[in-house]
Amino acid sequence: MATNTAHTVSVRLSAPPPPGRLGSIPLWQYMLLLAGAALFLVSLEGAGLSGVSRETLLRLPQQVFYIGQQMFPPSLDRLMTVVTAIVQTLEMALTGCLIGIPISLAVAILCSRNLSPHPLVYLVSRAVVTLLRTTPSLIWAILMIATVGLGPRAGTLALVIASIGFCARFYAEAMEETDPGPREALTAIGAGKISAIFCAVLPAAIPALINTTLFNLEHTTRSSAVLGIVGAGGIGIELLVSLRTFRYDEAATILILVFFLVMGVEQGCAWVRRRFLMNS
Amino acid sequence: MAESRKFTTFPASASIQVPPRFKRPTAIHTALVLGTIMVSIHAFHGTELGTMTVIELLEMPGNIGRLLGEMFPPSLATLPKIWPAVLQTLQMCLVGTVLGIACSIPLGFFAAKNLTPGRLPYFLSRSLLSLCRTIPDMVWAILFVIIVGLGPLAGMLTLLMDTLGFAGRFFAEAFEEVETEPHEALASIGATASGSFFSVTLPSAMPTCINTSLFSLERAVQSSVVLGLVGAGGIGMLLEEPMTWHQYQQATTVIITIFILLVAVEQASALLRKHVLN
Repeated sequence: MATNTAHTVSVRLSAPPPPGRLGSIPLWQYMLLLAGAALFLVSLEGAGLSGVSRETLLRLPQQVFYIGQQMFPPSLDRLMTVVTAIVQTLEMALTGCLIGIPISLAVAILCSRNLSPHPLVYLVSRAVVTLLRTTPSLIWAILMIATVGLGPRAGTLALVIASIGFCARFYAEAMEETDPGPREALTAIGAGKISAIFCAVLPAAIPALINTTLFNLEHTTRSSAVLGIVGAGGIGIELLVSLRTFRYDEAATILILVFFLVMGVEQGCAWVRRRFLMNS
Repeated sequence: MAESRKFTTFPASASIQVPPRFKRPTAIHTALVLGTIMVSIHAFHGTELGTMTVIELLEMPGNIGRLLGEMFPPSLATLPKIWPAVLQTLQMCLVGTVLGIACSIPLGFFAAKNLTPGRLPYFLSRSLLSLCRTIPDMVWAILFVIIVGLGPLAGMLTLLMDTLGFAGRFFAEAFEEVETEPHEALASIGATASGSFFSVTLPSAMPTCINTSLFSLERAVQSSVVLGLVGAGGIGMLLEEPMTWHQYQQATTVIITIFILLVAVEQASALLRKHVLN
């Protein structure tokens, strides 16, 4: 027994030191971190921070405070105009989303790997969808204004395009993820390609499709609130004018309404998701 | 025997009731569908698409064709201005995202239900986060252009706010999801709240945080390309002038650059995420 204890003690004494607190990192990671830090420091100049005098930076909180002070109490002078514009914003978002859905479904069938009629069609439609999705909706709005003139029409069309870009991509992913079994079974008993898609693929993908659509509605609501800045209808133009003319109290009213609009749509979508998607 | 034969007799199929193809909708569903249709029709008219005349509709393809004719070929005169603008956009994004993430960590701490020191800080930080998230980035940009003047600084601050609203919320959620045992173990041997935050919560939430940060960088690039339209720096600045004066050939060059930039960032981000998370 005695030797045993002595043995244990000696082991304890010669035990290796505890591992380092943070562990050492390999050289290349260290270099990468250094390079990242250097890049950040260099970028400070490009981001306009190095040319800024200390006074400007010190004045910043003061000015924020000043604008905040000017915003209260929010002005109700042009409440009716603003409310009309907010309603129009919501209408643009809804219509853009609704028109976008059927087009997206058709495009999604073309650009999902398992349903596409031809690999070439798949590649081309993929590229088109990427183009529609990555180009910001404000740029589409500007181009649509050049096509149909100023006003909510241009904004709605821009939102349709943005919806196609967003929905078609995720619709296609949802359709690719469906179980191929039912579709093959239907084809085996002689169903046409389109019937198989409508009776097997779409029903299976419906929860994902609805979820994507709801996300898209949130997206379009956010973008339609700013499309007015380039003249494509909605609340944006009211906001731009009241900010540019330093009517911060009017801007505050608009911002509060935009806040409620975006929050309302978000909560509504969350409700639909909870109510209809959770149990499936 | 007689019973088993019962099951195999065939004429019984005539009496089998096939379930209906579609379920009969309930009153609530019918009302909801009808309501949605009515709202959609109203919305359609509100957007002035409903008042489009046939002539205007027929003119549209022609208009699009004319616009495309004016847009192509892209002008090469803007090319020398493109690279500095792209560089500025990326720098704006990098600084805005890094500073935004640095601010998101303390804000996420206060907005996480299990870490927050009290109800008031929780409520305040949550409200700040939803304010940052719901106010569109273009609106932040207009505000910051008024406050700090034209240029990339306004854009950088906009992206900071944008990142704060996005990353702060996800950081808070990531902190809330960290398991409580290591936290309690450290607390029981006398660790302070901040000590256990830095040695338990932050390391465990790190993978989610890195993923969120990469997403914010991607989002920042996406929103930064148009901030220039209101004068907040970046490549969008090059778009304002040709769009105002209808020089569509020059605009095309900028739009193509934006497209390439965004696709490149999306691909790079996807690649990086795959490598970092595996």
